[in-house]
Amino acid sequence: MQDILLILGIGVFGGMMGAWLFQKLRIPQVIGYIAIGLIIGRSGLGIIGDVEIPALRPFSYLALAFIGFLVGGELEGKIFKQYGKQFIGIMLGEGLGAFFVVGAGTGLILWFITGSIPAALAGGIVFGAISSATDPASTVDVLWEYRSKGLLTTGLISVVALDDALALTLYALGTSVASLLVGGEINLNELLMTLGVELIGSGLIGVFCGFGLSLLVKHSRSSDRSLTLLVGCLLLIAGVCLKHKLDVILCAMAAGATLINASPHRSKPLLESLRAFASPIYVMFFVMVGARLQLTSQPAWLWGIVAFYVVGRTIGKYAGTWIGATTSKSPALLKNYLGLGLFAQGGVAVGLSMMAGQHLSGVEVLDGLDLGTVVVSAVTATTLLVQLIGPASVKWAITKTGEIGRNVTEEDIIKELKVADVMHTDPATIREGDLLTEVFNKFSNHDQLCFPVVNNDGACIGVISIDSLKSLFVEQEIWSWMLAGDVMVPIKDIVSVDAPLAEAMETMTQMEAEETILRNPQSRLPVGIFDLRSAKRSVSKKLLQRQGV
Amino acid sequence: MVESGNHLLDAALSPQRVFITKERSKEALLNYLVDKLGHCGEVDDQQALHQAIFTRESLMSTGIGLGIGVPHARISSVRRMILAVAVNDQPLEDYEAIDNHPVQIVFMVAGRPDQQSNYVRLLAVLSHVVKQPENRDALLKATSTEEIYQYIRKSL
Repeated sequence: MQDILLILGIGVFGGMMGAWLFQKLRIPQVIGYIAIGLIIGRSGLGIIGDVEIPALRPFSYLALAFIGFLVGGELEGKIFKQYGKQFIGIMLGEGLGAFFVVGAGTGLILWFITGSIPAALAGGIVFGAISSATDPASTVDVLWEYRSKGLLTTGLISVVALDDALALTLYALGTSVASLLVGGEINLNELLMTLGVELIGSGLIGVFCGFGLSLLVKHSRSSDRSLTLLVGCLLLIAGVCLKHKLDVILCAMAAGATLINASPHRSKPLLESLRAFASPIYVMFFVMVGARLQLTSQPAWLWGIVAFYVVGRTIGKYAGTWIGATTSKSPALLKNYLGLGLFAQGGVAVGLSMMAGQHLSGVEVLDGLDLGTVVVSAVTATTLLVQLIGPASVKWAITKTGEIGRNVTEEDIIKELKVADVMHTDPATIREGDLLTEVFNKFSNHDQLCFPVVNNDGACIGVISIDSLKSLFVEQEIWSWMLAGDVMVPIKDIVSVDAPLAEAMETMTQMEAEETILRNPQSRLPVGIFDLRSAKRSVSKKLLQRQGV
Repeated sequence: MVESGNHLLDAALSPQRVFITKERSKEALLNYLVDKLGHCGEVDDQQALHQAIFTRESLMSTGIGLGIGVPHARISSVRRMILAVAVNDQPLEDYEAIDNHPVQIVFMVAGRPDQQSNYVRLLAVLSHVVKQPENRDALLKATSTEEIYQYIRKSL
């Protein structure tokens, strides 16, 4: 137990270090987590080895439940109403594209090596089915990391969320056919029944949990309590799915999608809280993905399968997307770029390969090497390769379509800015010896709500605002002999030029000030005006620019 | 909050701060009034008041015309807004008023920096009152400080 805690610490901390390093190299953080996993895992230092990996397996299922739920939370019904047909068309295209290209290619290689048609067909079908799955976790992680928003982002989330079900179906059908081909005992009806129970059961439990959560969220007044309930629910989902051999991701995804559509307003902040809460779990999950991968010495032809699988899957996914998008009359953006975001391969593929390892362990392809081992070894190696290519490719796609950085809120913009970024620079000034008549002229000739009052040295000594002028409107008889210095308000340096905007806005609100003059701390010369209304306008403008509106 | 003119005047003026003077220069009269205000118990730093009054005069004379002077300043060492009135026995030729006429009636106002609205209001009220010829004549003809004090209060 002590070791597990230590390993979790090393994993999360090391993963974050890896992410930091890879971010510096402009590579998606998820590759950093996996790279650290490789270093400390089976293929590297062995800190996470054969003993720790099974012990941490429940943790990976919990992570999958979190990921599934968050991905489901992105699936708002209104998007499906508009693009549902296109997304399903693309999902079928890319899934079947990979299935056929990888299936045909790997089958041919296996036939060439083994000379056995049934073994080649069985291997090809299983490889094809596994290749159709896209890893939602690493794909969505890249979208979140780069705050991506837009049609491509929505399309990617929807397709990666849906294609797990397709992969499971293809796999179930594929292994049945493969078992029949290699003479194993298989009951197709039983397998289809199992698949039906798995898919429908996972979906129904997810929908039920989603509705339950939406009721709880509606009646819960504390966001902390809602988060605790949600985490509890996800633990239950992971536990029930494990116990009854249901699909954790699919179930959690259904729960997330149900919640976001049943109570969209209340669930969004909750999903944000979960995302923050899940961050270390996420990191550890990907570190585990890397740690689990084992690169052992394999026959040369197996690397041929690996190479073809990666290339064929890439071609199949991209071409399949293009065909699916064209058939479903999708916008050009989806047709040209969505395929680029579907290369990642993760938990579902590895899980299916493990199952195939058991199903096909009795099929000998060469002396001492069974088909099950071939599938496990090849999928492990391809996962490593495509997990390095996939996230980078997602980033490339969202960069090309300009969707990076669009998923921002006003708060995000405010956090990024300093006072200097939104202040009004080079303000017109009023001299302390100027008569009030001149002061009124200044206000009518300049678009400023307040003016710095300067002395003979140019140093700012006070401020006259439009509000403070109100009391002077009715006192016209003093305009000819009162000076700006007589009516100015002494300056208070409540905000500095290099202060963070969020801090400055809070200070201004607390002091009930609408605008303030900014001075150079040494020379006391006025350098700008910080006006809350203008600052908010600048923030809104930057927000619209970033969102591409 | 902006207070009414007579309320402000009541609060700022007291009979002890009304004077009939016999000064022969603007500087002497301003020094006299600064000294009186400095010792009235409402000013913590008389030197600061002196500097503020004369700095203001250096920017532009507070002779507002028709024989009236309104020297004034806002400084943090003043506890509350106060007013002193001096009617000099002779008009002061060196006051450099905006109408170039000599000044004989002087109202010195001292306030705190955060009293901008009330300060402006008091100056405006004083300006309005003393610009009426009958008020100026009455102040110049008064024979005692009490008479001046009562007349100012009555005029508002």
